[in-house]
Amino acid sequence: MQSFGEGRERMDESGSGVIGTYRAVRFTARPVDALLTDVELLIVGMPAAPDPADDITARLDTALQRTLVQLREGGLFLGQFGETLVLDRLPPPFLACSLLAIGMGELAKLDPRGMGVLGEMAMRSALKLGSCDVGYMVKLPLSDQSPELIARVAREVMAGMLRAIDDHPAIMRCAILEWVVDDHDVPAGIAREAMRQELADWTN
Amino acid sequence: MPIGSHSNHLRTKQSAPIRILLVDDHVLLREGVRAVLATQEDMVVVGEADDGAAAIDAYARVRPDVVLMDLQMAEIQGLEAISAIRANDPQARIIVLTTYSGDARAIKALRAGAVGYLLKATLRKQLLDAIRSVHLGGKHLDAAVATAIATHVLDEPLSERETEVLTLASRGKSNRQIANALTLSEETVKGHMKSIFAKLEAADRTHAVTIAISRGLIEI
Repeated sequence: MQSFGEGRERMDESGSGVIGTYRAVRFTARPVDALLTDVELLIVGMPAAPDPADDITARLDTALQRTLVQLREGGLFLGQFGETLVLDRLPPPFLACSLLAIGMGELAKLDPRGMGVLGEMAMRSALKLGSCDVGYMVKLPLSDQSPELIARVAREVMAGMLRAIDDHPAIMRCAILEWVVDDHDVPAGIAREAMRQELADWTN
Repeated sequence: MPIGSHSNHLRTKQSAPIRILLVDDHVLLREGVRAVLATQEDMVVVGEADDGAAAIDAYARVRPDVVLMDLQMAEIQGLEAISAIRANDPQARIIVLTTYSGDARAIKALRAGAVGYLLKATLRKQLLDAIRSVHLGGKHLDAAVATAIATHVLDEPLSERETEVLTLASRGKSNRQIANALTLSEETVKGHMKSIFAKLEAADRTHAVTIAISRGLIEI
């Protein structure tokens, strides 16, 4: 199985936001701003019910004139687990070209494994669309953000993404897909280290 | 950093191409879309149809992965064809490709089961992205169309009778003429007009007609 970038995994950049590179996808963790991050594809999570703690969707939807919330209320995009909606040609003030909203379903039922499935779906979509740079903002807004939970979620998400890369059947449009994981409001060190560990285990 | 050159594309696995059915009554449009899709390794056009009835037949025959469907066609129109195809195959993935940007048509199309709504003025990459994302199982909308839909998706719709009244008004008919045409009293027509003004937030009948045309609520 031919793959660009094989053997280029970076495992020794623990002090930076770089997580590592797997085949043609370079993972980095840093804060992503839904409006001001200039990427080809922005990926956000959309719960099935409004969540007061979900400031990402709230800020983004204000800029979209409440499009996502009203589509949910109108039954056209419910935010059910695994449901996806691409909005093309985002208007100003967005710097991103397109938005991929992924339904998270009921947040109370969402566990680390579910987050991994969402990560896999997100990566599969981005690869299928041939995106060259992606901002990934799908988060689990739980009040119990214990270090163990953060690490488990991070590892599941990374494993899901790596599965999607391994399964990807289509054409790579870019030499490298830059994949930025938003670590705003997340104990970045824990999540990043867990993702690095998952990547290392995956490649070994 | 796009690679640009086709020869540099890297394929990790072979997969079956996305099989596409083109439905449009304009031959030139079909030829143009076919030419665009022919440049994509992962897509193949497996059938064409020039009206809704032919689209329903072609879908049953070739079972495509994705349908690109015009709305305005002779015989059976796009909306009717979408409903019929989805009734026979609830998994059908249909993208509307139309010149109409009005929210009402888009809402009707999505409620009928379309999973994408694109304008014919759309760019090549957006068309290809839409085909790929709906093939994966998602929905795909132009952001401006999505916002227009969202703005009105919760509005109380015009009733069938109100639509008839407004359509006749758009043809310059007076309330009395509308009443005669629909076998109603003039007072009933006035009542319908009042309700239409309220639903569309229109100041008068000209304003109501203008709004209804721009939103795709009536055909002229």
